[in-house]
Amino acid sequence: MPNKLQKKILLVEDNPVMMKLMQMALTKENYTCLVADSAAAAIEILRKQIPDIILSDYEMPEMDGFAFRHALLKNPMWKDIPFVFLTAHSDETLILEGLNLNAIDYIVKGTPVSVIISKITNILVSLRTEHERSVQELRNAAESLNVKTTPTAAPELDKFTIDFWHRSFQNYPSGDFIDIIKVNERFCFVVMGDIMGKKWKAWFFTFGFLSYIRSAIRFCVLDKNFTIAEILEKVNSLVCIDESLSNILSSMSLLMLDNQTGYIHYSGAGDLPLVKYNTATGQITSFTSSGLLLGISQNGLYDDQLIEMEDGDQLLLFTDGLIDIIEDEHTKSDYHSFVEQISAYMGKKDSFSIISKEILQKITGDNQVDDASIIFIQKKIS
Amino acid sequence: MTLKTEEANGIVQATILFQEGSVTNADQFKEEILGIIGKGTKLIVLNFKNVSYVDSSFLGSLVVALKYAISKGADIYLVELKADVHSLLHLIRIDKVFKIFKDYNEAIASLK
Repeated sequence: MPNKLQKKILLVEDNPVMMKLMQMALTKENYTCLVADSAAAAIEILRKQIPDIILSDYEMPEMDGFAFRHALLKNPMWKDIPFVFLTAHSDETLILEGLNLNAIDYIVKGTPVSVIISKITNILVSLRTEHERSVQELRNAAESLNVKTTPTAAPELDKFTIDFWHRSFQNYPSGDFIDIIKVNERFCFVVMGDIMGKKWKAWFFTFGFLSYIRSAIRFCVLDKNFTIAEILEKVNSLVCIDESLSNILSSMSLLMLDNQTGYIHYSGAGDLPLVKYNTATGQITSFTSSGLLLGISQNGLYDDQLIEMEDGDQLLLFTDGLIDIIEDEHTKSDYHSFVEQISAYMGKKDSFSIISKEILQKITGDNQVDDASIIFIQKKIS
Repeated sequence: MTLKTEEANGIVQATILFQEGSVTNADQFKEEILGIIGKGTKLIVLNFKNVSYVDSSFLGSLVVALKYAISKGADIYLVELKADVHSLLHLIRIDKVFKIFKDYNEAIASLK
């Protein structure tokens, strides 16, 4: 994910000279500039993409700046976009009227462009700081409840080593969850899921899902039923019956590591295909399960696959946050490029450290578009 | 507004207007689809020609909309998916729950 997320500014200005001047200055300062020569054109742009801030002229033919602002305030998707008025007037009544429309600032035309840019940058920085402070307070609250959606460390196993990594989107508590449950000396379950959605909405439901998953695994173990497709079916049935989860869907990969045979059983629900490195042949293969996302339908079509792991073989599972990339200011999902990129680091003595250094540590707040998680399992060399 | 809609013979053809389906428009999109189904429409043909990226928030809304449609005896068909979007739907098996067609005409022809 090499591209930095640039701040996107929507410039609404009917004077072509002024627009060109501002556009050049903003682009030079590394802003992505969307331009509209009327309020109507700006609304067309907003239907397709949401900028980080809007800088709008006041005097425009047809719909003026105030009417435009009123239109934005009526739309829940647009009303919270930071909005700055740009006007030739320095009339106090006008300024007051603008500020009453929740416009964040008022810039008088004739202000040097460099000052306008500094103002915009300051507004965005202070909004971000404020936002981060609120998120941190909520994180603190979540942590004080002592609820975790990822384990602190992986257990020691006879035949396998497990490493994992997780980074949540914009530092929000995550909708991805990981659990590693060693039920006895022989079997260890590895769970990775992704609640469809982002931020708090997703995070809130991870506990419900994790509780069902943990219970389903424990009940099956008590019944000596080690068919993992059935475990996934049970989790799915619970999710489908639970009315509080009726609009919530989740992907999930479920693995059962067998420390006696050295094999791994796999069943998946709408998860991305797993990637395996075979030490003997040096080949990469993928494993796709047939199961649907948890919560779609009572008949989730879950299957049970056996992955034969020989000494040194490696297995990777990951969530969709890792395959989303930003290219030419647009986001796209590319599973195959990610697999190709990561394959180059597999089959090494310290594959996970290399993957960490070359890929995971390069994921930052600026280029991440979703919660991202990865689990790396290696069969020990006996 | 995230959709441009056109109705003919009880079928609503809805074209998604945004390029990226994400957390910023997923809820609004879902409400608009639920609104169309709420009016008694039995089939929505959802056109993806403008969409080049979808995230899990959007896909969550899309599937919830389908579940609602099915509960009302309605259905949602997907048409004109770009290769990247289609490939993601296939990777996570969402293509198993939606009927997907090349375009509107092919979707309508399947009804005959």
